[in-house]
Parts: sequence; C-alpha cells; structure tokens
Amino acid sequence: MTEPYTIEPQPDSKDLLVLNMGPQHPSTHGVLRLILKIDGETVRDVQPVIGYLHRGFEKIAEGGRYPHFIIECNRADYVASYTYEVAYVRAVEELTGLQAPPRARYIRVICLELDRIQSHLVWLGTFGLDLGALNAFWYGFRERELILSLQQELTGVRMHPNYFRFGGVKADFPDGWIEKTRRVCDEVERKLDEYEDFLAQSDTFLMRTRGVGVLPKEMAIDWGVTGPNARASGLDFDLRRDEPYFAYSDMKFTVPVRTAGDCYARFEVRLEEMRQSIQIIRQALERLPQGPLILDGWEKGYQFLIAPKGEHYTRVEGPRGEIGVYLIGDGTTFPYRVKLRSPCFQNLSVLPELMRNTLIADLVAINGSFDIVMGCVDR
Amino acid sequence: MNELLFSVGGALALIGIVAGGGGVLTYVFRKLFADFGQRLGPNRVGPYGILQFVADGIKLVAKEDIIPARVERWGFRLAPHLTFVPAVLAFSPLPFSEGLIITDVRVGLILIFALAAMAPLGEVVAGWASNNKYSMLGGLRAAAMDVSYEIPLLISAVSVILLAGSASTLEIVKKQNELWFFIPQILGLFVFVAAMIGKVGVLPFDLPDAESELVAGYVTEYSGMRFAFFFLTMFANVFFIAALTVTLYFGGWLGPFGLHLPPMLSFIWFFLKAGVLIFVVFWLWNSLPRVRIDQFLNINWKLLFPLSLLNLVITSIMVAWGVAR
Repeated sequence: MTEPYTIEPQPDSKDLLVLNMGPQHPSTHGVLRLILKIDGETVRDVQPVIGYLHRGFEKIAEGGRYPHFIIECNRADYVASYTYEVAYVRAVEELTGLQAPPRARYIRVICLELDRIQSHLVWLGTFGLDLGALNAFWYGFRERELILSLQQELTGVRMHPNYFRFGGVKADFPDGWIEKTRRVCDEVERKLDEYEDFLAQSDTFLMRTRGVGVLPKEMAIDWGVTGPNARASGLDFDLRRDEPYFAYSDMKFTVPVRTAGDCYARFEVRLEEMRQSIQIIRQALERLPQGPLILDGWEKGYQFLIAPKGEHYTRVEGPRGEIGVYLIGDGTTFPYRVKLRSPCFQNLSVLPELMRNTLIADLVAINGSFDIVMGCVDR
Repeated sequence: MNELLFSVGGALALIGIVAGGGGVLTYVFRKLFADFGQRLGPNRVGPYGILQFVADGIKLVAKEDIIPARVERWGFRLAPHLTFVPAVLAFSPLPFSEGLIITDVRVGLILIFALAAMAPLGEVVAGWASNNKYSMLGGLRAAAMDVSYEIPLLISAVSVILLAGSASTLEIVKKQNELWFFIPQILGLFVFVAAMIGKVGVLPFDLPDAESELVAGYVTEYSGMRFAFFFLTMFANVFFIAALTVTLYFGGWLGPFGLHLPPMLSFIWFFLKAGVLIFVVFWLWNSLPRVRIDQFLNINWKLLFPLSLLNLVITSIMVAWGVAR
C-alpha cells in the first residue's frame, strides 16, 4: 500500500465504499477495528486498527517487583489467563535458575491444559456465532463453566488466578478435586463429539468454512503465525512436544496437524487439540507425584525475588500460539524490561492478506477462525 | 353502514391477529431458543414468563423515539409502515377456517403474492434512508433476496393453482378434502418452504440482518416503536409462512383422515398445523449456520428455480392426464 498509514477512514480513489467495522461490532471479538474497502459485497482491502485495549503492560511490569507482574500479566489475554501467568513465572524462574518441585510442575500442566480447553471452547462458541450458529455459543460456554468452576475451586477465582509462584504453586488441590476433574473431562469429551456432530456434519457449516481463508504453510511461517492456526496450515510444530517444559516430556499426546489451511482445518485442529488436552490431563492426574508444592522457603520468599543480571527468553505453547516472555534482570527486585510476545498480534497481522478479495461473510468467518483476543494483541 | 362496520372490524381483527400472533411468537421463539441452548429463557413476567412479550411491547412503546440527525427523515419514518402494512394485509385472504376469513377474493393467492412482493420496498427505503452503510448493505441484500426468491415461490404456487383449478384460497383448501396437496406436490412443498424461509429471511437465510456481518442490517438505526414494527413484521412473516404452507399444502382447516371439526372450531386444526410448521422453522433457525450471499443466490438459481419448473411441468402433465383433480 502506498497510501500513508492513518486510522481515519479515507475516501477511496477507486470509488470503493469505505466501511468502518468496529471497534464496536458484534463479530470483531472485543475492540478490533477493521477499515474495509468494499466493492459491493467483495472486500478489496482491509486495514486493521489496533490499540483500543492497550494498557501498557510492559511498562507496568518495570514499575513493580517481580511478583507484582504475576497479577498483571494474566490480564493480557483474558481468555487464557493461566497460560500468560505461567509463561511469566517460567521466564522468571529460568532467569533466576529456580526449578519448581515435580508436583507443582504437574499441577501447572493440568492448569495449562484446562485453560487450553476452556479457551478453545470460547473460540468454538464465538466462531459458531460468527457463522450464525447461535446455539454453539451457549454450548461452548456451558462446558467452559464446568472448567471455570474447577479452576475456581483450585485457585479461588474463575479467571485471573494469581496462583503460580516462583518456584511452585500457591495451594494444593482441594478435597475431591481430582475426581471432579476426571468427571469434567469425561463430560467435555462426550460433548466434543456432540459439537462435531452439530457443526461438522452440517452442510451449511462446511460450505462456510471449507476452502475459506486458506493460509499456505510458507505464508504462515513468513508471518510468524503460530499455534493451532499454523498447525492447520501444515506446520508441524508444538512447543509442548518440541521444547517440552514442566512435565510435558512425561505425557503422551499427538499434535493434530492439517494441511488444508482453511477455516475448517482450523476448526478440526482445535477440536482435536481439546481431545488431546483431555488425554494430557488424565495422564497428569494419573501420575501426579507427591511432594512439596513450592521450593522450601519460597512460600513467602517469592515476594522478594532478586533476579540476577542477564536476559532470558521463554516461550510457552498457549491456546492461540507461542506466548513469549523476554526478560532482562538487573540484579534488583525489579525487572529491568519485560517484553511479551503475543501470538494474537502475529496472527492478526496476516489477516488482511487472507481477507482481501473475499466476501464480507468470509471475512467474518476468517476473523472468527483465527481466534484473536484483543487484550492479547494490545497488551 | 353494515359493510363499513364489517370492514373496520375485519381490519382491527387482522391487526389483532398479526400483532398478537407476532407477539406470542416472540415469546415462543425465545423459549424455544432457550431450550435449544439449554437455558431457561424468559421466566419472570407472569407464569413461565408468558407475559414477557407484553412487557417488551410496553418497553418498546415507552422508549424515546430517536431519529438520528442525518437520516432521510421522510423515508426513515415511512419505511416501517411500508414493511408492516403489506405483511398484515397479506393475511386478509387467508382462511383460518371456512368462515374465518377476512375477504375471499377469487384471486386470493395472487393478491397474497402481490402484497408479499411489496416487502423489499420498505427494506430498501429503510436501508437507504438510514444513511448508514450497514443499513444500506442490509437493505440491498434484502431486496436481492426477496426478488430472486419470489420466482420459485410463485412457480410452485402456480402448480398448486393448476392442481386446484382456482386461485381462491378457500377453493384451494376445499379441493384438498380428499387429498392434501403435499402428496402430489412434495417437490413443490420443498421448494415453497425453502423459498419462503429465504424470502422472509430467517436463519439460515437471515442475510439482511446478519448480526455478525452487518450488525442489524437495515434496522441498525431504528429503535423504539419503529424497530418494533420491523421486529413484529419478521415474526408475523414466520406465522405467515406457516399459515400459507398449511393453506396450500396441508389442507388448511381440514382435519387429517376425515377428522373434521365443526365449522366453528375447525380453526383449531389450522393453528395446530401452523404451530408444527412454525416449530420446524424455529428448529432450522436454531440449528443451522448462516449461508453466504453468493451461496444463497446459487441455491435459488441453481436448485430451487429448476426444481420449481420441473414441478410445474410434472403438475401440468398430471392435470392434463387427469391423474389429479
């Protein structure tokens, strides 16, 4: 594009209709704003405008001691709050050279996978809603509620836990939590088949998703797309398997990969990922080791963690892709710099390429299938 | 004087049927939508929330009447009436039972379709006058849909006229005394219901007000009572689909297997059948995703239109050889 970058919709020189979509729009999932240039129903150009949810997290991190940002960073991606928190805690641990005890590592894996399932369920619901399958939304949120109440029992809150500590986790499972989790796993697994019946066996759904928004593998790599979106394009890469952290090396699971790269492939990959997550949770509950939850002396001591001079980059496989935390310590109790690498930002940046020369309805489907969370994009 | 009274009474009854029926249908729809989504739905106002639609109506009437600053004021005010009035009038030649009909004209079916063909007018005016790009896109979509889906609709209705030998709705129902027309017209029924749903624009064909794409389409700028007119028109149209399908294909007020009710009560059969069809429409609404505009038009021109022509040919042959009649 040769036109200068501006967030004000400009009248178009080629007589296209300039349509401002968002930040208040039912299908932009929060505050994404798209400036479309449309020719009838065909979208000729898309310009995303972001920043409506910018809260300056990276600067906030520098203002507090290391543990203060635990509470903050899980607000970045409010749909997958556990994953962000774990990513930050892991980055600090690796910078300082801490190693959480085995039981804590297993608990973290369980939390991460529960988080992945509930995040994908939100995606499933909103994707259905974008396509007009109104009830998918209720179904997705119904099962998500089960998982949220599990998380609430474990951490005390439904969404922003402040549960992970440098060197461990805050609390052990409450009584009966493990059995309850097993039951929820069975329930969700059964419901996943129902979702597949409800959506994947509907011709209308296939018509709307097959061959729509095809992201080629090379393009996915070039634009830094990660997570389920990249795996749907044939990129066989999953940090849980390829760079295992916590207890993932003990778990047996497959990484679903599709090569089609269209909206339907992304749907399939996410459904399959939820099933695999359930398998991982079952295995982790099975093999849960006994032992301390947190390193000795860190129950309170984590408050005054002093990280050495140095820098470290950690990446974690989040529900939307690779969540990276780049951390510079300067030998004090304050982080010198925290940079969050957001998967949504990278995924969003490729969207205009896919949306060009599609119909408005396809644009909504593509946007929905990419699972963008604006809090994660803007940080 | 008597005639005048009768006309006024008929008109009032018509508005009552449409407004009341539409209102009740909003409640039924919300309850069913809740059931399909495993929720409770309205349950606070009255027993089982049945007075919810009354509360909604009061709210809509009491709301401030907002006309945005830069709309085309005349068209903006006119559009709700342009949509609502034909939708109400279209009920006038529909027989709820043998005696329960506002006006029996010899060309009743033609009148119905003439009135139904006025629907895109209000939608386009609303879309244009709102001075909103989403409204305009919605209005144009509505026009494209209505105009194209009318063709298979009319052709399958013509098959029924051929079969019945009359365009009067009363005659059509009376002809079904021995055999309901959905048996010889099974193909026509399929085309008719699909085209009717497409014309009225409920999911999976609710493209003019596709929420995730065009916010609310041509009703985006409307609020209060003006919005209520569009809303009511939509539910009146759902009722209309069911009522017309029952009249043309399922024997109107006639009972199945000769189980006719006395003339005073025979409307019960009519509403029972219409209720089943309305349930089917809501069922589709709740279980199918929305199709895309190009797919939608393709369904019409490549599937429904040829099928309706085929059905017309088959019906003509049947009538010519005297198989039916």
